[in-house]
Amino acid sequence: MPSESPLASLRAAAEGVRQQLQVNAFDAAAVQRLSDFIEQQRPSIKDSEKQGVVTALGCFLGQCLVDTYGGTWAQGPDKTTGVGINRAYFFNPFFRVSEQLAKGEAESVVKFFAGIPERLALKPVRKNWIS
Amino acid sequence: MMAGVGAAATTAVAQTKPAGFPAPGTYDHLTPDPSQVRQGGGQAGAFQDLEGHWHAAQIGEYTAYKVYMNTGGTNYQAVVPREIKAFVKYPGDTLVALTGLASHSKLGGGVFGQQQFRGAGLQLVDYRYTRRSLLERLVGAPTLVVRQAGGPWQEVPRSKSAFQQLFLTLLADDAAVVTELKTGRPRPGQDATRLLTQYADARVTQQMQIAGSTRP
Repeated sequence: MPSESPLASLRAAAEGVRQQLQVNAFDAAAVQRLSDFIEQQRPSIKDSEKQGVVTALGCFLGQCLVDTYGGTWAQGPDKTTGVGINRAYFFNPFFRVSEQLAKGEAESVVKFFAGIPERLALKPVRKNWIS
Repeated sequence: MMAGVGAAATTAVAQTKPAGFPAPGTYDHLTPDPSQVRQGGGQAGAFQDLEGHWHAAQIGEYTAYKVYMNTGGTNYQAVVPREIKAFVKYPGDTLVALTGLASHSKLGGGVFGQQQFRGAGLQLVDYRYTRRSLLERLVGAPTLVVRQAGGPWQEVPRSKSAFQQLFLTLLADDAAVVTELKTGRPRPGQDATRLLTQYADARVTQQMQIAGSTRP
């Protein structure tokens, strides 16, 4: 049997979350739904499940970056998994999810996602991650 | 006498609704029917009634146990699994009503499960949304049932040997899949959809070859 690649695992997790969130695509509307879901679940997520939930929801947010802004799943300079865009920017969706889970709407994934075009318009930095 | 008949009729109506809703007639006329909600943000879709006919509907929020649908007007009506066969939320998610799952007596009222595959007379549905753990619902191993030719649902076993046995029976007429099942190490959760897709694709290829070879 073929073993599942890391990329396939990331996408499978994102798809599982998409179905659970009942959204049709990995787009801005889906990120809004993700944010609402995080706010709704924040008080009740068990500590034992927190890391797993961050990973699952991070895969979903990352896939939204890939599909909406033409990013690619990649390994960052610090060896973390994230999404590279335009061969110049690297984003860690797992960190963004954990921030909203910890701090609430002040660190909303919606704000982060909506701010991407502005950040992409800034002067690009040299690519220093592996995709 | 008539009052008794009326009471019985009310009870009968109440039994067709989810247990979470109070029976019609048990609350005053100013209280909105709790099985109906006003909601925005529904999406285009359709549902299949118990006779097999499809109807257009706006699909609202849903859980494993009920879906809110709007077939006209402003209100969304709660519908439970035993009232319909399936619903589709465009562009692609299909949820199938699973009733009579033999191994789950507590799910006797039925549940909605996400269709993972349909083709070659086979249908595979995942109903992991009944799990309590959020993490399990998001990315846990799927809870799968399969059926052939519209027959009864069968649980897809989690043990590899039982999974092999069931799929060898279902896919017995595909030599390549049979070989893979016998010689490989199938993983029930991950490989069920892939094996069914492989089987259905091979059936289509076979039909095309037959059609091609019978041309004059």
